[in-house]
Amino acid sequence: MLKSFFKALEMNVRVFFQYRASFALSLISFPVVLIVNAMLFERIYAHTGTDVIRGYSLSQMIWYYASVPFIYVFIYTFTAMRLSQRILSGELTMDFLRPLHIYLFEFAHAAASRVIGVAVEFLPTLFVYSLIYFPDFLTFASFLKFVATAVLAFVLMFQLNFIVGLTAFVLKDNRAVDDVKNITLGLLGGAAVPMDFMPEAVRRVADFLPFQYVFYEPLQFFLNKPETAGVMPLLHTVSAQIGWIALLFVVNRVVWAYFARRFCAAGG
Amino acid sequence: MKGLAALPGLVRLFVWHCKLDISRNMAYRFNFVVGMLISLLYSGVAPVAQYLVFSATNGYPGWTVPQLVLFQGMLLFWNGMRTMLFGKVLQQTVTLVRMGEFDRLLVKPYPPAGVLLTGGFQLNGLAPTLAGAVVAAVAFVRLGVEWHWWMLPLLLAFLLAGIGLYAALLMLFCGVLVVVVQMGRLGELFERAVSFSDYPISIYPKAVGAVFRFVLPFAVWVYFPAQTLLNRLDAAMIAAVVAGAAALLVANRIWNVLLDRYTSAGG
Repeated sequence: MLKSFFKALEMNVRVFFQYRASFALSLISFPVVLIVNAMLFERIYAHTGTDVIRGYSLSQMIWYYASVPFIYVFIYTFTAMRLSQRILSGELTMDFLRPLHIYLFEFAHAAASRVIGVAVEFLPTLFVYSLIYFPDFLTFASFLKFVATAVLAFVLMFQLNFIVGLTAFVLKDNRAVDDVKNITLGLLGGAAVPMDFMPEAVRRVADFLPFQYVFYEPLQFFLNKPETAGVMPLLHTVSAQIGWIALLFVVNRVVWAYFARRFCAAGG
Repeated sequence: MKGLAALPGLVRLFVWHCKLDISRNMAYRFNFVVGMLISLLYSGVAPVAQYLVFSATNGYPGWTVPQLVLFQGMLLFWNGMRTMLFGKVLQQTVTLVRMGEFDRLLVKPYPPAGVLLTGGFQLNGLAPTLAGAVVAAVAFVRLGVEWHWWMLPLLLAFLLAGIGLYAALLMLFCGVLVVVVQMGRLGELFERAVSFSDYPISIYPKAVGAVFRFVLPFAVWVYFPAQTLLNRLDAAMIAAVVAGAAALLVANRIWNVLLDRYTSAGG
């Protein structure tokens, strides 16, 4: 099974590599985010007359917003949409006959797209960003911590996307659920605004949900915030991510087992 | 049919697409209601995020919190409006090109760009449009700004120029899609480009601000309408309206150049 998985991974990497130019467009679009945020926050910090706002220095604040697309590079997958399309078209029937479980095939597809994304988008964009606005806070250790938590964020996000994909067994078209997930990620995951700006009650709710482990927590390591110094914060975040991954994996398996037995495509 | 002569027909085509989308939505009412709510939430995320940052700081120079709420109302309104008028354009274009169906647009009686742009209506944008209008109206009343008769025609001029500018940008991106076929990050690049208008133009450095007032007048979408309602007139407003209309003509020229490079799926 492992051999089949790596074969699927290799095949998907080859497919995605054909669209490398499209991925590379990020080199134009991502710096726009950095430039807009640099202009915006330089004015806000100057107008507020302070060096630190809610625990963020100017460069950390600029990089927080500019680095949200980095997280997307690590986590973005088409799993939810692909499952919905396969259920709508009936193609899922063929997937039941394949030697590789659709969960593993989708994971290989998602991982392949992210391998290309990290190679073609993340690393070159990080270099371009650094030329535009140097990340004075970044250390080698904080970078490694970020990569470790971002990789786990990808696995966690895949679990969430697969669950959203499974809703298509009932809804057929799951775009609405996917949109709700994206909005929740924006507000409770720290993608739209750092959680430090959220009201206390919202933060308390977010603590019981997995979303902040996708965006907010990995970015804290990237920004080398004082709270992330040492090994313990990393262990705490990693163990929380693994815990959520394990829980959502079980949910995926149970829900899949329930619906797969009842799935009926056109023709039988 | 070319140029202005095609306009009445394109308007009829747009109305037809509107009716079709409304009928489609009425057939799946539950999905429609959920879609409207989600569209409202989606459009509301950026204004909420901006408000949270604004309220935790001294905000932007020259803007108070109630004024920013008015700006957010206009932002919500414009985001809803552009979704409603052109929400499907980019995705439809890439589908047509990738599936080899773009060719049939070339033999239609109306210009292909016109056909693409008129087919983008998405009823879901109605919710944020209405919500934005209500937020802006309430903020306007609470600010106690005096209403002047010239505000309405000026707002309408901004709306028309804004639609023209947005259509021009869409035309350019559709032109690139026709050539490169794969959407990939183009949609994201488009969203990032237009996101410059999410903030008051006055916060940008002077040179950048001048570009958004006179060259690529993103200011007509949100900033100038908000400034108008705050009774803060600017001579650049007229130039921006002219530049917005001119952008459509320039984009049309570029579109024609890009269209010449189109290669059909058949070779």
